[in-house]
Amino acid sequence: MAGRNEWEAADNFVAYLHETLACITPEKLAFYQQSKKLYKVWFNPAAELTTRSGGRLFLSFTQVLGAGPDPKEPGEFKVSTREYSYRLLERSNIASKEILAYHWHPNDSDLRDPHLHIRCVPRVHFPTSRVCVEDVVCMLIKYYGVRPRTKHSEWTAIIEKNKRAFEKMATWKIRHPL
Amino acid sequence: MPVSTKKLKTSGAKLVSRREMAVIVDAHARRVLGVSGKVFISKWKAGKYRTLDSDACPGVIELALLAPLPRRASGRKK
Repeated sequence: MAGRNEWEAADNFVAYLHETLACITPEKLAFYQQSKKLYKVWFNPAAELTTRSGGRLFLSFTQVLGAGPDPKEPGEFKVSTREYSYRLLERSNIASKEILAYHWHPNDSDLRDPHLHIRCVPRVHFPTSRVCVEDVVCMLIKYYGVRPRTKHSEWTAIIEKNKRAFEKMATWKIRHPL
Repeated sequence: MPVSTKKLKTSGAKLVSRREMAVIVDAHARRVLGVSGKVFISKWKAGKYRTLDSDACPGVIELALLAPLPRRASGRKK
């Protein structure tokens, strides 16, 4: 996921996200460079997912990415996730109430740890570790009946490969109290 | 608003310009909070939305992530 500069590192990182998300949707992410070191990727609008029973669900996916020199590889640049929001919706309208939402937004509210919202248990922020998009895609296929776009052997191989990359590259997974 | 047709070389992601982003944030703010993007940013900076969350206002977190708001160098630091 590294690159020769911030832009290339961000592009390579988004390629991984696309590969994972392509297991359930053909939609391409939107990409915005806010500054040399800050990037945003999201589905615009929320991506439509097809379920095995013929229904529809929608995934609102948003990540804020920071890019900078890779401390382990001189001359290389890497990207890390700074904040995320993964929401499963029944409607495409992003203002609609979600079925569930994984959030980590340390800059945007007083709640700075990763957490989960579940519609049927309002007002509770269930604490989580850092959640990777591969786990979300896997959950949607296994438990929400989302139809994968490729054969079982293909999407599981992609999820496994990219989750290994996440585990290798992630600078933290569990947030310890300061 | 449909984003431009420009794409990134490796990932194929749709490249959004600064102007397009402002329109997207404005549309999100109007849909989620019923205010313009500029008003949202101004009120956010004044701390008016610090306690808002997804339960009370669905979509507000995506809006905050997409809007050009000040951010710390590392999201982990308190």
